[in-house]
Amino acid sequence: MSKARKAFCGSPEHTIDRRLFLQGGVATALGVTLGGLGWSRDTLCAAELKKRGKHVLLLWLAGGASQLETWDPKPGRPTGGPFRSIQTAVPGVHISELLPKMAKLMNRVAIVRSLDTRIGEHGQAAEMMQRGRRPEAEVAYPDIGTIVAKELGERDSAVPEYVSIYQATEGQRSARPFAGFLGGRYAGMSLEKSLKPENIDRPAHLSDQEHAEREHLRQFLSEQFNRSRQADAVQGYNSAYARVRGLMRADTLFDLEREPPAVRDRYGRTEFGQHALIGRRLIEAGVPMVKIARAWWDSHHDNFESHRELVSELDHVMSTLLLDLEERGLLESTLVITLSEFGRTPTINRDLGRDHFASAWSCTFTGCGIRGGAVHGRTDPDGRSVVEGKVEAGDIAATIYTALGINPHKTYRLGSRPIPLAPENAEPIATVLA
Amino acid sequence: MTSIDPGKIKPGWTRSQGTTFFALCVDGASRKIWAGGDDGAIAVFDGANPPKEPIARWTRHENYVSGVVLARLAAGPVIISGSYDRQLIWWNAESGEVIRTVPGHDGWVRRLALTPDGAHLVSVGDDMLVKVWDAETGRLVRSLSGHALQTPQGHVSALYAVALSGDGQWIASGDRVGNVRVWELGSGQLAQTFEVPTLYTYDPRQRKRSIGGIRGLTFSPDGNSLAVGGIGQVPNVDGLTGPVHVEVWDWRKPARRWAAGAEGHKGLVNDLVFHPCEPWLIGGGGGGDGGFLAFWKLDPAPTSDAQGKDAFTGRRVKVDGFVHALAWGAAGSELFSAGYRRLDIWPLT
Repeated sequence: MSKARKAFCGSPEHTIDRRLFLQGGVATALGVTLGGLGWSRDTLCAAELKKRGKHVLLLWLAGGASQLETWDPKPGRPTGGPFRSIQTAVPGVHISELLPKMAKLMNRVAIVRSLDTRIGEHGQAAEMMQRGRRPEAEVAYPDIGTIVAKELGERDSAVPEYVSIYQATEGQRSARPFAGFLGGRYAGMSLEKSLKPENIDRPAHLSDQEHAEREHLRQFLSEQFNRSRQADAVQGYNSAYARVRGLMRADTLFDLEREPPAVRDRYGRTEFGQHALIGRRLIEAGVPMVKIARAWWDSHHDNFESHRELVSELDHVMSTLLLDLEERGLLESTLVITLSEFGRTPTINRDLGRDHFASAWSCTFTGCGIRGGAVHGRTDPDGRSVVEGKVEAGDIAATIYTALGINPHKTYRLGSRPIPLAPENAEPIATVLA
Repeated sequence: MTSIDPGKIKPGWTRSQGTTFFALCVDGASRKIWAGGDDGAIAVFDGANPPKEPIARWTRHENYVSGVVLARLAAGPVIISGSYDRQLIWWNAESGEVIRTVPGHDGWVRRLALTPDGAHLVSVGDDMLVKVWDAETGRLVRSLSGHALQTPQGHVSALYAVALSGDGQWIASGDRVGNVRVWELGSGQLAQTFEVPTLYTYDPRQRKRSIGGIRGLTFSPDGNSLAVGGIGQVPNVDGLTGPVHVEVWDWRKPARRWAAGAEGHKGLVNDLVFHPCEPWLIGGGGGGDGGFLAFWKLDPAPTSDAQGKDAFTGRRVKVDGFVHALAWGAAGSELFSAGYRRLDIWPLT
């Protein structure tokens, strides 16, 4: 009798031994990767996960962050605005003075300064950047986060595979996790109104122990059944039950009252800071794909006042996050991305604003698979166009997949049609890859 | 009785160019204009015989010039400028020669004001300090703290506005979250503080970004009232889409005398001035539905919000560009405005 060991992505390396879960009884059956949070942990599983676990933490800057006030400043030019540039830890690389903490960490960060993505409308641009391609009417492409979660996730994982924290109304609809043709099994957990996942409360008449015992009994019976009948359906049910139980326990991941106040203070008591801390907790717990959205970058008016606030916050939150991940040994296995739907116009409008601009803008990659200190692409002296190293949305997707060890040209099947993960003409940005 | 009819006001001279001006001062007698811009320069115009080009450009600052004042010192007239480069510079008003450069603030210098006797310069900056300087020597007399460094949501704040009373006794300062502080210049003592929350928008649910603040601030000619201006609650922080909003306070109590908008017009009042001798409060700004000058009539003096609303009856003059600063010519016969790629002179009588 063979025991089914289906790795989620097909690779034997990604198999979690279910016996390891079950042999420890209730206490360990569900304690897959939640170490550091007071949960029981199977050390063999943890070691296995640590060896190969990779994650993505996407900082989604909704509304369109200005590249001129962040990663591609043009001080002294008519388009430059009032902020100066500062030298970073990488000789010759300058970024906005609004990012002094990040400047010290730029040897870990790669900048792409040559995004030319053409679409300057929020919804369409957000969908394109999140999916790595222009939406097509015939094919519901999943977003990059869903593909990352599918590729990196574990079939029996007791934690969600894709968590999106997006508690702003701006751009929310266009940037929700989207499973597309992969279906509901891969739907991400989208937290939009509160940090408490909805509909996962334990029934009031059951104690936690009673609930866990029921689950243990259900698992025991289904295992017995499955030993005699190799049934994918049962595996699927088990997976679903494990995920539900996991989601219920994952509730604690979002409870920052469990964090020492000093840690919360370190991230800053802004909403973005606290959400980033949750993101780190989720990564640490084994969630492969986390998206943290910080909205309200759409600065058609008073651009410099808004970016003074938002970029200063980004500087603090992002630098704290990178250092925290590094100190916990997680940065090497976590790809941290800053990305928007587009950038902002070099021309400063009559209301001291910058408008939508998709012709020459920037994003960053840090951590897993990334060559820190790299800068890809160049814009002209006023930042109006890309003069070197043009990059499109598909290239960003291909770069993300490649950095994580996922073949961007791998295909899924939609009926008889092969669908490549990244568009066929997309190429990973070699400059920024380790 | 007033001789000013806002409905008939048209610019007597307009200078359009690539520079956006953030500050200006005027020698009322000679009509000479000094305007600080986003090119880091002070452009000098001969307002008596307005040319197309400035008669001089003084380039020493390394960032936007955000404040300029004309000080008539014993040694002769001096222009003092402040900039986002954090510096204060004293210039010979005639030759443009730099007299001294002084580190001003640890952050952008936002605005300057000069006491009527020219003895003291007051500056405000993004270190959230109000600094009093000896205008003659450039010596720092005192530094006044109290404005919070951060907004209640934990973001960086800004100290946008400063004003001096006509007798030079009181300094008022206004910040990003709507806090106004009044200080006694001579002693540095805090005399009063009050909040104008309408001028600061932060919606913790829908719009998680700060917008607004005290942008315009001025004492009434008798020194008993403070006018504050900015933008009312903003429904969408992607734009300056809130209502034009001003309030006039009896700052000693403190109590609001009246508040007013501009008949539904949207935008941000970036500078405010009382007419030196006629009963008008005038604001300049932009955003929302475009650049503007707005006129509130103070005869009879409003004593309630309802009367404040009546003080504005269609007295809005469109300006093709955001107005950032206002200054008076001789005896209030002319209003000078500076803003988005333009300078204007507005004859009022």
